[in-house]
Amino acid sequence: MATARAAEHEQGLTRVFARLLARPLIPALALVLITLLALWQTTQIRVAVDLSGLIGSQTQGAQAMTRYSERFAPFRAEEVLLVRAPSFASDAALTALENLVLELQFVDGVAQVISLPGLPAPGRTGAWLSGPELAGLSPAARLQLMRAESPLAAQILSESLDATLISVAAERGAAGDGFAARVMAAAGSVPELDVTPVGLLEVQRAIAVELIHDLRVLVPAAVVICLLVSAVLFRSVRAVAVISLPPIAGLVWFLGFLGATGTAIDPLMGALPVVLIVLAFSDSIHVYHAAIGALSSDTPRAEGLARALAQTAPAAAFTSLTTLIAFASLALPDSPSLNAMAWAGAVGMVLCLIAVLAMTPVLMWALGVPRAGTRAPGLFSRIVPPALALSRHGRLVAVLALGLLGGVWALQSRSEVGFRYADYLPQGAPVTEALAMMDDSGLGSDRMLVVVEADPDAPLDRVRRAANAIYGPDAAAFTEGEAGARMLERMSAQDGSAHALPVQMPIAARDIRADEALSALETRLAGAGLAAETHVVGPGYALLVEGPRIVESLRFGLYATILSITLLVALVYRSIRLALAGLVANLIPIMGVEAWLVLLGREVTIMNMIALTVAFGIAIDDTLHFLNRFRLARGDTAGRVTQAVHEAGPPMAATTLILLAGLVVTLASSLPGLSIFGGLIALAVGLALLADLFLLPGLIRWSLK
Amino acid sequence: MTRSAAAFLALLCLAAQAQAQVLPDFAGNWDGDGTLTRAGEPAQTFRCRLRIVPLDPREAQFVGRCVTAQGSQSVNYTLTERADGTLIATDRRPLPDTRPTELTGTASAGQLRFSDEDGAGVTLTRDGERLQFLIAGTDDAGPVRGEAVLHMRD
Repeated sequence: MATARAAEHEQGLTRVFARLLARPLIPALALVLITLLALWQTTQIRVAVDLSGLIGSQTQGAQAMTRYSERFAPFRAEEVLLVRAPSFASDAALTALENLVLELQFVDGVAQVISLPGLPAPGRTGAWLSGPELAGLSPAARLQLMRAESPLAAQILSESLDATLISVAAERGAAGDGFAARVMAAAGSVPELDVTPVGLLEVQRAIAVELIHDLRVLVPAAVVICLLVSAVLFRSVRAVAVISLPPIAGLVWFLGFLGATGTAIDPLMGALPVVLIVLAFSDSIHVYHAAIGALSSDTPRAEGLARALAQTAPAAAFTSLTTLIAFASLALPDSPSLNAMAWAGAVGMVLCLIAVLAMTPVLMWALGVPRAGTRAPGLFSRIVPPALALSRHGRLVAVLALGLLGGVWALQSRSEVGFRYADYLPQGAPVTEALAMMDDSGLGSDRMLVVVEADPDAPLDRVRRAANAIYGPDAAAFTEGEAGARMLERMSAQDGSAHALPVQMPIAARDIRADEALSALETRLAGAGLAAETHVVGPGYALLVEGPRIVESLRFGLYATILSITLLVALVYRSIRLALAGLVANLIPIMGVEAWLVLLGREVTIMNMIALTVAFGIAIDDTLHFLNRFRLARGDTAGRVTQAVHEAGPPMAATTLILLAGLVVTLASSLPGLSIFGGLIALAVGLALLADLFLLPGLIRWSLK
Repeated sequence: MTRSAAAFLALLCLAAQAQAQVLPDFAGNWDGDGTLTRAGEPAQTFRCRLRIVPLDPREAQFVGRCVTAQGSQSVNYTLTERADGTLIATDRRPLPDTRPTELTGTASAGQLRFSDEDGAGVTLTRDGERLQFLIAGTDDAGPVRGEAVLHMRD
């Protein structure tokens, strides 16, 4: 019954493709028109980097910021400047520093400048550095005394007295590239000092520059590599044209869609065009391979092509559907950036599939390839004998597969989640270099606030203990006595129910967990018995604490994807055993990648988990193409497996080569996140091919025996 | 009307015209340094950049900003000089839900002065190529007084 229905579907599809091959002119014109329109819309593409977009408004981190804004003051966008001099321990350098601060105060849209010259003196509100308390001291002694007595000074002036931080907050609505440019123009008016923008906003701008560079260089590079691999495989200009034009058109449609809908490309989405183009190439090669196979018989060309397209289209649609489900699972976390990627990835998959299925017949008609007698690429036929040889030992393969699965499962279960700024920081960019230098000198560029709830019976007791825990025992002079009380008053909530102590945390440029410094801070607060009465807030903090939660949510999405795709396979092929065999063959590469991360001592980050999710959607493609060929084959299980290995094996290897070659370009990105993304998918796809060739056939023979 | 009465009226008109010439004398871009003194605090560096743009002989826009290392204060007034030498300064800084506040004072040869009813205000004194700027008021801690000597920038 099911076989009859499948045959009916295939006949229907064959008629559609036959009609397309018989009257291709109007569809061809329509496709050209759509592609030109999309090309025009690509001019509207924009890149927008907002790391806070990772965090949804309902997350705990975002809610904490909202509550802080209500109790204290609104968070302002801040430009953070790293200011360097040979040494600030000279009158000339201090004068230059004050000049710089005054110039920054003149910048249009500036709301507040936090700097060493502006720090208030203990016990009064006026500037300390230029005040009478320090007037009799040498510049070096002044700075050292400030560092010793004020934790605020110690946080913004390096111990070596040659680097200091200035934070320039913008008025509401004034922040942006224009504001940053004005800030840097003002900084340029004090040439005695070396000023480098650091901080989250500059990090985001640097990422945007690299993203634009990557889109301009890596996407064309991926296309060129796919073209070259296609040329090597099929050794025909026309064949390469038939294989490559649909994916390129699909990518143009996708980019046109982004431009038309105003969907900005962000760091998460940066690798998406490369992923889409290589996947579309993969589908295109499967379709072309099937067409060659169909034309080797004696049937008329158009009829044979229509049948080949009809036989491959469901598998191509199915493989796109699985990747689409993987992308859709990114909609689960409360994260605008991930949700945008979910949407864009799903649309991109649909557009690329349509481009391949609609354009390939038209191009086959126009270019007259493949012809009857064309031979399939023989490059990968050598993989067939070992795959078949292993498949004959079903029990051994099953034991091997289950052993591998258990091993990678055990390793994978030891994985930890985390967040690394280094995933996002462009390598070699001035901001990354500056942040690394700050790491080394103990300066932090991400201002967070420790909110300390006041005890109504002793309003300053907790905040003083918290200051001691945060800044160290030397901070006592800063908070004790009448002067300290006045200082703390400036940090008080509007209703006096809490205090917010500023703390400069590092944006860790080195490849380490971003929350190391934060964990140390929270441990110190807990050690002071203030774990329950304190909490940290800030945009950076939200990233650090919500990052792992997003990873957990993504992990749940990955499991949901695995489950739903397995059920889908069971439904489509009407066999739980086939679905389970496919599941084992695909869990091994995915868990294998996670196990690889564990062996490298790296935790699972947002980028890693997105890569694993998308990789699963891609990795199962080969399985589906194999199962499709197995479905179409006739005879007993062993014979059908043999036929499927013969028909699906070489194109699986060819498409995996295309995927690996295309994805490898992401390794050239200076954005580590993109490299990791592409690299992990490539690893998963490579492992998936091995599992599909050497485990899946044996598993099927064993399970259907 | 006798000849002497007509001459007297003409003299009055000339005097009124002479009054209207005061505002344009201050036109230009000015900047310079001085000191800001707050109650109980030592003086700190005070830097101002001001611009006076004549709109017509009787009106000028007075905008700019004065800063210290700790903060800044912008000014944005429309100055209107009346025939009797009265100076009206209308505060144009955008304050939501409030009408522009008006300060009053005098415009005399070489000096513009305006203040509110509490005495907080601005005095500009032209002294050759220099402009002496004085701004006075109060904050939470008490009186605040900023003084700077400004020079024509362009």
